[in-house]
Amino acid sequence: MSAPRDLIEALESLEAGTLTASELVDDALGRIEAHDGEIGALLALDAEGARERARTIDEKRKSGETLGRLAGIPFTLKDNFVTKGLPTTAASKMLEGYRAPFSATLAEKLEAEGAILLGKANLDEFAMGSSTERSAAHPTRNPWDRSRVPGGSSGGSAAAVAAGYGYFSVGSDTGGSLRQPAAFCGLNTLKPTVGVFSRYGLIQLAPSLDQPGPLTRSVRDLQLLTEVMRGHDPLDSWSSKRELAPARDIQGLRVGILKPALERVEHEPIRDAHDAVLETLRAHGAEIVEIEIPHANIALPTYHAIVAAECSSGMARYDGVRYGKRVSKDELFEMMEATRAQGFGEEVKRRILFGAYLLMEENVERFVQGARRARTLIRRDFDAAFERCDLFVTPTTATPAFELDNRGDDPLAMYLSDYFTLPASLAGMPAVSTPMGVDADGLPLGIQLVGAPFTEATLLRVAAAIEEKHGILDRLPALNGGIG
Amino acid sequence: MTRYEPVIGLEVHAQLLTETKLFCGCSVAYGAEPNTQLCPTCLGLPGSVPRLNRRAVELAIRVGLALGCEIHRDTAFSRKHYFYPDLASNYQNSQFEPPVIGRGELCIEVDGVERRIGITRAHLEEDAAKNIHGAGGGLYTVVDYNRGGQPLLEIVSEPDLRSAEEAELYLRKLREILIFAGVNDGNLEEGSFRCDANVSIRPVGQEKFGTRVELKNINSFRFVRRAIEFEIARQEAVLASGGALVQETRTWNENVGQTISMREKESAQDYRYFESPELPRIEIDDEMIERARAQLPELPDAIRARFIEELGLTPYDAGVLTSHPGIARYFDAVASGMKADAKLGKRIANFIQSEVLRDTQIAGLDAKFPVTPEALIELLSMVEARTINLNLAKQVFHEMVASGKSAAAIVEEKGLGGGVDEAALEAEVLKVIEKNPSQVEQYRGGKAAVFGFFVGQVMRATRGQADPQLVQALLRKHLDG
Amino acid sequence: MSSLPITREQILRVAELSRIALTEEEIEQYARELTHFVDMLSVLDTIDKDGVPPTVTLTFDPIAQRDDKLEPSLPRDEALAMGPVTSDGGFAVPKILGGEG
Repeated sequence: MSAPRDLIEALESLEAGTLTASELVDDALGRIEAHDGEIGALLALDAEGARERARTIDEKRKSGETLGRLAGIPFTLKDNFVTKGLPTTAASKMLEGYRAPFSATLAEKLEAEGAILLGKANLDEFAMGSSTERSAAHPTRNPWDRSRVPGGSSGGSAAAVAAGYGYFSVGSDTGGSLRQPAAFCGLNTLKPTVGVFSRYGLIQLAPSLDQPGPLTRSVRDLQLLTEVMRGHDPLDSWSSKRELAPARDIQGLRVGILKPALERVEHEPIRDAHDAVLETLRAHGAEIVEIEIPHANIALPTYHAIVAAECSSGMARYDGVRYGKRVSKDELFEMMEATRAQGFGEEVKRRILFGAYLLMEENVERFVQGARRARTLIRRDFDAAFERCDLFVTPTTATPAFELDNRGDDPLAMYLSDYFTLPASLAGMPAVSTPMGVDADGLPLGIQLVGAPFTEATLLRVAAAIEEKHGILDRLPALNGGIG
Repeated sequence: MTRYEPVIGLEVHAQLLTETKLFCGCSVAYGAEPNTQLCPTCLGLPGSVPRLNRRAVELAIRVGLALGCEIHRDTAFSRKHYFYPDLASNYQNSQFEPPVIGRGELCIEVDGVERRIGITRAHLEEDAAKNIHGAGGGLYTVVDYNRGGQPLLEIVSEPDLRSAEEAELYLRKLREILIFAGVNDGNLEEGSFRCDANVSIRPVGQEKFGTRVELKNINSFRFVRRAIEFEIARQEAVLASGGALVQETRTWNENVGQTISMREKESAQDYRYFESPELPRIEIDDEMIERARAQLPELPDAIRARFIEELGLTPYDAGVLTSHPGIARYFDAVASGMKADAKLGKRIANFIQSEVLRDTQIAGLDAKFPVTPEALIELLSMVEARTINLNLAKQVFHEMVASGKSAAAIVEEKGLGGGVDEAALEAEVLKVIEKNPSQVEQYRGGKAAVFGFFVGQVMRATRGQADPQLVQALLRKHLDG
Repeated sequence: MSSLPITREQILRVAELSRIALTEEEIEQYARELTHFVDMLSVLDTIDKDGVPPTVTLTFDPIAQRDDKLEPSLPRDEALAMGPVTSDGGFAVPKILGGEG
């Protein structure tokens, strides 16, 4: 079989009858079999179930039944989305053997559209991290260069798509956990406006920041998935009933850039690629304007204070009483303390402890309320910025994918890798990351597009224009026999 | 010897009368099998999302109106953190500052004197689950999460109460208001109305409060009173013997008739309150308040005043007829159906108290009456029209209860209707006098008690339909005349 | 700008509140790291936040509330199947002596 390049092409082939869902699934399973021992993108695989569902879809197609919009397309799901049929661990020992009694709305929605879930993708434990090295199971390697990380925390999802384990994955983004892996793995992603995609069934890291989103090979795939995944979910109280704003023409769009932020980027190819993207946009008739997010310099402490507090609170539920791991002890609190000591990894414990410190009576006003006030200032900066521009662009990351074990000793340095992605998370704004070429080592680079609420369609249209000129789909490991 | 004055403040946890829990659609019905009313949300499962039950907010506003408290227009849920298996997430969604309901007061009457007891605040929160100790052959504590997440309103009083009696009166009054307002079923045994008491004593005249003891889990009015009385005496004894009181939590043990100190926590709690990052704020606008006001039923004090002033009841009768909201509604329905004035109101009240309530079954908020208000109206209207007399009405009432038939059907069936006109009755009276010459002789000879014999004979002859007063008048006319 | 170092006692207190047993090495490591973390956050003290309301939740539409309607609960066996230890139809924990009800 000649593998389709992206999801849309796969759908066309399925509809034309030149390919079957079974072939797509077998192709994905073959790649997993061949490569995942080393790449480690998956935590759970449902080969038999996937084959079975593919056969069902092929039969339905043969008999002319109406099929869903993604019928026959294999995909993976970050393992912090709960699924009734497969184990859900959030890459933590705490949830070893856990079987959720319900499925995430997005999982059900995608399967209802005929997408075929291959398995669950690796992540940093409970999505805390940006390299997928903090998975309790194993690290994930970047299919572009196996000595490097795929980014994180949706690193398993990104590696799976880059390696051709299906045509898309759904991950989550709290401060950059979709966008940074997309950049590191040469993929496209959308962190939507709050409320556009349902969060029901997404295991929380920090509820005021967590957003789900797809990782895809192409922008048009991303457009299709945005359309399929969005929509009101009565089970998620934050779900919006609003329609997305229609896409605007690039001609006449005011595209903002952040000069001072750019100066922080030491990796020259990233600055160059960014400038090249601006040229492309100019050529399409966009107007480039300089904007400011004056409080961007406090986004990092603001973000980490809020995440630590929310995470410390939310993670309290894992105590060995109702589900998940329990370490047996004769006394209640000893049982809880041992369970949490052994069930959680280092980074999770760190955030829980730090968050508890921030939440203490004498600290909460200074650190937590302080950060929440600072967050308001950042949001105001965005409101002001969108008076001057319709969207703005930044590099998604300051560097390409780094090597494994490279920052393990300095957790604070690791936190810094989210510099460009944090502000949009704090402001709840939609943000797309799309490839903007590769550097001299052949490592993919990503550019981030940030828009005002509900302007996803415009961001995707601009991303498509960037892809046309700077896209690297043909270099994607999934499309190359000798991946990575 | 120093004289001490008790200082008591009460915290009441009232379960709001919703169908479902505060943040999920699980039932709140009492008495279900353990762990059958739970879902991902109230079990704190990863991936669950809480969704606020708007009814709970509406009922909270109603309480604010019923107690005449301030209603805060914009408040939030905060998480209160402590690890304990009865909290599925190891935090409780509650309210910190400010609460949805602010200051107000409640009037109680102590020995005929009105006392105004301040209400500090009332806030919404989710209930904890139930720990069942000593299960599994005594090895375990077993948790039943059915109760976890049920909506509570915690109502906190000022430390304005000065005796166990006042505390009990306050609780009874508060419970009555909540029941009549339709927000709580007032069931202490089932724990839907729970009380904690903060008790301290101070030398009479001293401004500063003494060391406070919190009495927890007192589940009857009698126990509240006994626990507080015991605690006041205990504290006085400690101070009298030169000892010092410790701030602690104690619980009432009915078996030994004492308050018992609960195990002290290893170290002070730090609940790490912070505003929920996922729940909506509780925003209350004029429209919501007006709607709540329109839905607020008449409260017991107002009902009693109306019963006394408009329907001629004594304060005692008014108390009986407002002992349950169902009874008050029943009386109201009959009285208004008969367009009762003060005299008729009193007669209706008498009939309900002497006959209807005997066969009325009260279970929680439900009152099951032997006949409908409409059926009773039909019966009592016949008495008012003098179609039947009161004695007969009582017999007919029992027949109605036994057979389920209407008053009219029974009267018709037994040929009771129509009464007896005066001429016919006078003929019956003369007949009875004629038939019983020896009794006439006795009566006229001064044996007044024989009069009752004649009344009975006439009533029997008219099969009870005659108006007894008229019978007496006619007998006197002919016997005495 | 440097805050006072976080002490061993403070870490133990935080660990107790968080119900996490820590090893000696962890206590030292987290004390050191928390000191740095607090340092990093202290920049927030320097910005003018007077009168700025906190952003606690973030949505562009009101957070939905629910009508008081019954929804299906989990079947008990399904709920208890998740429990690490169950007994008498409930989730079992080591016996609590004199615990709060």
